[in-house]
This record gives sequence, structure tokens and C-alpha cells, in this order.
Amino acid sequence: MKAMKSEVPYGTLDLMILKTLANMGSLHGFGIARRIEQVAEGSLELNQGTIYPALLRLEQKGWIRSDWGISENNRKARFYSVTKAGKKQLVDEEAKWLQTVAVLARLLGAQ
Amino acid sequence: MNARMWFARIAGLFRKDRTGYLEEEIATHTEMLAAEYMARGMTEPDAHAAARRDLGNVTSFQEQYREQNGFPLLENVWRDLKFATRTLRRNPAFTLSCTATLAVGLGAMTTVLCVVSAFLWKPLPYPSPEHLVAIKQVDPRNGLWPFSEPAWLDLQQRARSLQTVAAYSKVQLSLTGTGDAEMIQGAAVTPSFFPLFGVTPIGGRAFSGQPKEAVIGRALWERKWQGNRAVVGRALALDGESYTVVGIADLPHDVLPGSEVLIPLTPKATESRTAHDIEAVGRLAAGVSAAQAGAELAVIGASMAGQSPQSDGGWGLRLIPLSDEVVGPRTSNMIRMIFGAVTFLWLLACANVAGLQLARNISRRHEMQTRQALGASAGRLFGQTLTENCLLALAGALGGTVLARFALQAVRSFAADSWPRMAQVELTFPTMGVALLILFATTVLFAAFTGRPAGLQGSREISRRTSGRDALIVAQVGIATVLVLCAGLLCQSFLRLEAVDPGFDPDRVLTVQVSLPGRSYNDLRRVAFFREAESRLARTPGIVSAGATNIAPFSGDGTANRFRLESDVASSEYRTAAWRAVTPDFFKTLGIPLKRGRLFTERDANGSAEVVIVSESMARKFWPNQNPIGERLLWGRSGSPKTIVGIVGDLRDLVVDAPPVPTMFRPYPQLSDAPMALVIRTQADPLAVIGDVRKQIAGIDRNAALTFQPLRREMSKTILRPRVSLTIMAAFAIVALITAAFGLYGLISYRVNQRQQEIGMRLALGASPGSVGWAVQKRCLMLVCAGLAAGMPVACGLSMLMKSLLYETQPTQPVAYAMVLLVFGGVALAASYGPARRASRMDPAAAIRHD
Repeated sequence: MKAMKSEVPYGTLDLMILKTLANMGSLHGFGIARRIEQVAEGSLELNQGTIYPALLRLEQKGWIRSDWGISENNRKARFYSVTKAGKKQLVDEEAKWLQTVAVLARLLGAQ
Repeated sequence: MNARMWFARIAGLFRKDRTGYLEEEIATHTEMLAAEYMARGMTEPDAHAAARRDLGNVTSFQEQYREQNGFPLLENVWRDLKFATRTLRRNPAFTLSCTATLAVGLGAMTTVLCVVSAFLWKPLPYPSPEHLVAIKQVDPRNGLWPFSEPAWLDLQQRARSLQTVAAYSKVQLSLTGTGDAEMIQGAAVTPSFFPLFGVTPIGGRAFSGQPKEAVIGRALWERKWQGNRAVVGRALALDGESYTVVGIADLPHDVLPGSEVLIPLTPKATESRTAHDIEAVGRLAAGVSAAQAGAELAVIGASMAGQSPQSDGGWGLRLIPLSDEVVGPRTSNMIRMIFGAVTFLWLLACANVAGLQLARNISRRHEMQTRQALGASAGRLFGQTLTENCLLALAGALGGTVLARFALQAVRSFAADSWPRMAQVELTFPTMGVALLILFATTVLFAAFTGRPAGLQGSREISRRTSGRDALIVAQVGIATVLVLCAGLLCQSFLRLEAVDPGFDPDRVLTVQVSLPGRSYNDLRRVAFFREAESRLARTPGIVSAGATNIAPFSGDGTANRFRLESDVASSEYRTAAWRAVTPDFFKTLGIPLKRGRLFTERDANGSAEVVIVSESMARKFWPNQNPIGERLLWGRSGSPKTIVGIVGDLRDLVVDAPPVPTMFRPYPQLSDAPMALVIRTQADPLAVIGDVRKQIAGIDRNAALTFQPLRREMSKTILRPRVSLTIMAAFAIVALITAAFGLYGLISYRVNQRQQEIGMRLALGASPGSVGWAVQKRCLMLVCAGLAAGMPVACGLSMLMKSLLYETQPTQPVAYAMVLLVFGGVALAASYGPARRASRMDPAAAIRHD
């Protein structure tokens, strides 16, 4: 039996993508999906396609940019990387998340 | 959303397929996933299937992606618009009739709103207009009068509640020395008139209190001096006297319509208190209400009456807001009536369009049901209907605004320069805004009532909707009844007015206002001038006879004076009657019949026995059942006795819609200080002799200024207001009738179509075609009867409110109602004729097979 997989919590996919790109530099959609799954170690149910609307959203917000490139297996692929504004946003978002998580952990731990 | 997002989304809109690189990216992604699965040993098809599973619902996130690259709500609206345009274009009859109905309704509504706003809402275009008032002297028996000069001085000195008091008096002046001698309208005004109306000279200055100054209006300045400022300081010959032009200004058109020049007015305490010839206007002092000022004026009026009991005994003073005085109660009543009428017309247009839409919704129910079944939400269907309605409304708004522009031009052309406030009748944004607001509010209501998705209900829903259409048709007929009846009453009243016998024959008569160059004429010379003019004109070919009077009939002026009866001198009571100074040939020229005694002759000259001729109504009023000939009356304040030598027929020479005023006539040589007008009876068209008249008069004095008017035209001008109200109401009534008739026709022919099978069955079972046709017509008649039954009582009630606008026409008279019944009977038959014919000629076999 597979381990329980959880859905991607609402609003966290953007942050995951941003963090992944900040760590890994330039990546295509497949790479981003693969990386998130690796980190989640199979505990996340990710519909890989949903990455693309999220990528468009981030790009429209100006936090990432994209360029055509050639993938490792010689395919034409679109590579995404974090912009300066995106890095700043990531710092803010991370701080916010850690705080939320800490609050939740304390609340849950207090029981 | 920040600006950057907006930009990105807008840019996204223009991307080729709105999904941008997504296709390619997904392809790459799938390939990479599949390659991975294949590396783990899957077959190629299995690997691809697994890859697609990993990717999830592609359509769903493609949709999400597409929406993110644009504005989904706006796009829905855009799609609805495109769809609506298509459906509306596919159904041109429906679209055109809706648009036309809305355009006519909105055009009428906008026009009337502009008129109402100019006459009743907009404040006068002068400084703090709400504080401007007109003040009248009140004769308890004879209503409101202008002021006498001494009374005005009393008012000016005593009234504390009025910050400024001014006086004006309209005059006609001859302008000579600048091309042809010309008669111009003007006004004599006190210096306070300028600050009161905020008249600030464009060039020069206002009055300084010196006599013989003139301020010319902009129109005259531009016409005569081409806008040259050097005219300030020049001499101007008005009525033969030399005035100095001290300034150029925009004159207050609403108070002095048509005036082109101002000259000084200096009221004198020595003038007669019985000569009421100056208008008093003023501004309320700061913080004083009209009621407070009115109370103070009552006190002043009472003390004036106490001081001069002979002239002012029993009289009082009355304050009227200047805006009311300028517009006048008759005009404002008329405008209220028209506003009411246009409201009805608008409701009718709405009912009509609602009926059309209901009809169309019934025929579109399959489409709506299909769309609903395919998953369109109620909101989307409503949005679709609303979009269609808005498109129709927009087309109607465009058409209506264009119509309103033309209609306003027509309204203004009725009498812009002589009708106060008419010049301000224009298409303004606020009025257009109000009209459009009404339009779109109605549109949303329409959509709400008619645009509910037909749903999957069955025929019960449809029959409910048909009865809805019945109700709408009945409403339309009812409203049309109201409009037609009111128009009918106005029409009858107007015909009565046109047919009024003024007491003389106004056809083929030319009136000539003559202005002689003032001081160069003494009384004797003036009398001689008119005697000479009459005899020269009488000899001119084409002219039958010529006479002269101080008041040309229907010129808008009148003169009245008080007198006492010698037989009743003890009572010391003054009576009032109109008077005219005339030459002997005046009566003959106008065709006023002599009833008793004699007319004037050349022997009734200055210095001979003073005589007077009275009109029949004057004789009846003051000498009932007696023969007044030989009686004497004591004239005015001087009390000099005049002997009555004749009685002539009554005449109406001021307005035609009031009974004849008791009038006394005096021989011109015995009262020769009045300005005069010639009346000339011609053999043919009075306009044809103008050149000859000019030549003849110039032969006597080339500086005499002349203004020509055919008497018939002057007379019809006095019924301008009834003519305007009738024209507008008749137009409304005709539009209403046509709209209602088409509505009826549409409904009846729909009925016939709907009942084809039933009708065919009846025909097949042996019903005669005539009876089938009659059944259709009966249905139509019943609808009309219901409409009449609803409309008649409303019309009856409303026509009572119109009473003040009707001349010798009873609002409740049966003739008008009978006429309305006839008209609508005709409309019912005409509207049902076609469908009835179709029904009676139906081929039973085909009809039964009809779906």
C-alpha cells in the first residue's frame, strides 16, 4: 500500500516553485515537478500540469522569467528562473510560512 | 491586481492562441515523463498513458491558463454582445420595431425634459436668481397691473425687505441715421436694472443717471456696427432724438425678449397714478424670505391706498418670484401637461417593447430550453437577455438623441426670440443623462420581467405569457386613449380659437407701426402726418382704405384708463376700460360695424367738442338697458367730460381667447400724443403693397421708421401657445395610435398563427370563413374595449387638469369621447383585418397538418 499522499495545500504551489527555482537556478516545468516530488518524497499528490498555470501566474507577477532552451535530452523546453523581485518575494513568503507553521506547531503541540 | 498584472493579462489577450507555449511545454513534459517510464521498462503506449495520468486534467488547467491570459468576465460580455448582435441582425423586424419605438419614446422624452428643464428647473441666468422678484399692483377687481411711476417711487423708498428695486418699460423705437430707418425693440430701465440682472457692459459703461444715454445690445452692435467698439461715445438717433451710446452689453433676454437697446427710465412723482406702465422688479435683501417681503409690501400697499384713495384705494401690492413671472402660469401649465403626456408616451413605448420581447421569448423558448439543458446557468441566460436589451437600448438611445436634436430645433424655431427662456432649450448633458438613466433602468426591468429563462415549464407558462401580452396591449390602448382624448380636446379648443370672430375682418389687412422722429413733430404735425398718409395710401392702387390707431390689433400692447360716469359722479367710483385713439377711417378699414349713433369725422378735431365712441360691451356694462348716446363720461384723473356719439361692435384686439374688453375710442386729433400705427386694407396679398406704402410714407417724411405685419399673422401669433401644445400633443397621440395599432396587429396575427390547427379544425367541421374571421376581429375589439375601459376614466380625470388650457371646450363633452371610440374602433378593425382575412382563407387541410 502506498503511503498517504496529501493534496498540494492551497496557495503553497507558488511558494514551492519559487523556492525550487531559487535553489536550483534555471529549470523547465518537468524539472520543477520532478524536484518538488523528490523533496516531498512521495508524500504529495501533484498534478504536474497545474504547475503551468502557476508558472504563468508567477511570470505575470514578475517574480520569474522564462526563456527557450534545450533540455538534457535535446528537447526544446522553456526554462524558468527567479527574478530579483521574485527573490525578495520568496524571502517574505518564507518568513510568513515559517511563522504560520510555528504557530500551528505550537497550537497542535499544546494539546 | 496591480498594473503589471493588468498589462500581462492584456498582452495575454493578444497572444496567438491564448495558451501561449503551453502546448509545446506539455508535449515536452509528456515526452520526458514517458521517457522516464520507458527507461523503467514500460512499453511506449503504457509510458505515455502513465505520463498523461501524472500530468492530470489537461483541459482543466488549459482552461485555467487561458482565463489567466485575459479577462473571463469581460470576455463573457463580449461573447454575449457578439451573439446578441447576431441574433438581433437575424431578426430585423423585431430589432427595428424595438429600436424605433425606443428611439421615438426616448427622443420625445429627451426633448420634453430639455424644455421642462429650461422653463421650470433651470434658474434664471442672473446673479442669485432665487432672490429675484417681480412686484405688481393688485386691483382687487381686475387682477395684476404694472406700476404707475409714483407708486414705484413709493415702493423704492419704503421697501426695506428689497435690497434693489428696478423698473423697466418695453418700448419700440425708430433707429435712424444708420442705413434704412428701422423699428427696434428696446426698454427704458432705471440705473438699478444693471446690477439687478448682472448686466455688465462688454464695452463702455452702464447708465450714470444722465438722460439720453443708450446701451446697445450685442446683436444690434454686431448687426449695425460689425462689433466695432468705437461705437461707444457716438450719437444714436432713437425716435428722432439724439442719444449717446455709452455702452454695449448682453441684455437679459428672459426679462426683455427681443430687446436690442436700453434707454434711461426716470420715474417721476408728478406722473399720473392711474397710468400703470412700468414693471417693477427687485432683489430680496439678504436673509429676507419672500413671505416676509410680501408682508412688508402688504403694509406699503395699504399705506399707498390710504394716501391716494382716488387712484390707489383698495389696491395692494403682490410679490411674484421672477422665474414664475417670466415663464407665466399658462406656459408652465402647458409644459406640465406636455411632460405628463410624454410620460404616458414613454410608458406606452415600454409596454410595446415589452410585448415584442415577450412574443419573441415565446418563439425562442426552444433555444432557451436547449441552452439550459446544455448547462447554461440562469445567470448566464439572464446576462444574455440583458445584453440583448442593452444593445437595443443603445440603438434606441442613439436614435432618440438624434431625434431629440431635430425636435429641439423645431421647438426653438417656434418662437425663440419672443418667448422667454426658449433660447435655453437645448440638449444638455444632465438632461440627456436623466433620459438615458430612465432608458437603462427600464431596460434592466424589461430584462428582469421578460428575460427569465423560460425554463422547462410547459404550455402553462406560455399561456401565462400570452395573457401578459394581452395586459400589455390593453395598457397600450389605454395610454393611447388618454393621449388621443387630450389631443382631441386641444384640437377642438384650437379650432374654436381659430374660428373666433375678433369683431373685425383680419384678412388682407396690413398693420404698419410708424415711429416718427420724435421732437421734430408736435401734436399738430403728427395729426397732419397721419391724415396725409391715410389720404395718400387710400389713393394707392391695390389699397382699399387706410386708418390709424394707437394700438395695432394683436400687437401685444394695450392701453386702458379709468373714468367716472357723469350720471353717477356722486359715487366718485372709478371704472376701468380699454381705450384707443383712432382716425375716422379706422373702423371702415378693419370692418368694425357701427351699431348706433355715428362714427368720427374730420370735424372731430382738436378744439371741437370732445367725443368718444364706445364698444357694445362697454355700453352694456355701464349703461345697461339705456341708450348711452349723448351721455358723458369723465376721463381719467383730469375728469374732462367726453360725450358718447356712437356705439360700435365689440372687438378682441389683444387676445382671442378672452371675451371682448369694454373699449372706448377717441378721435386721434383730440388725443394726439400717442404713437400710432397704420392699418391698411388691401385688395389682394397685404405683403404685396409694402413697397408702395414705404414709398408713400417716405414721400411725407423719409425718417419715419416702419414695421410691417399682416394682421392675420399677428392674430395667429396670439394663439401660438395653443398651437404649440396642440402640435406636440397631436404628434404624441399619432405616435401612440400607430404604436398601439402595430402592437395589436402583432398580437392578433400571432394568435392566428398559434391557433392554426384549431381554426383549420373548425373550418373543416363546417364553420363559415366569415365566422372565423369575425372571431378574430372580435378578440381584437375586446382587447381594444378593455383598453378603452381602462383609459377613459384616466383620460377623463386628467382632462379636468387641462381645463385652464382649453378654450370654450368642456373636458367632459361627449363629442370627444365619441370621437375616441370611433378612432379606436377603426384601429381595432384595421389591425385585425389582415389576420382575420388570413384566418378565414386558411386551407383546413394544411392548417391541421401545421406543426
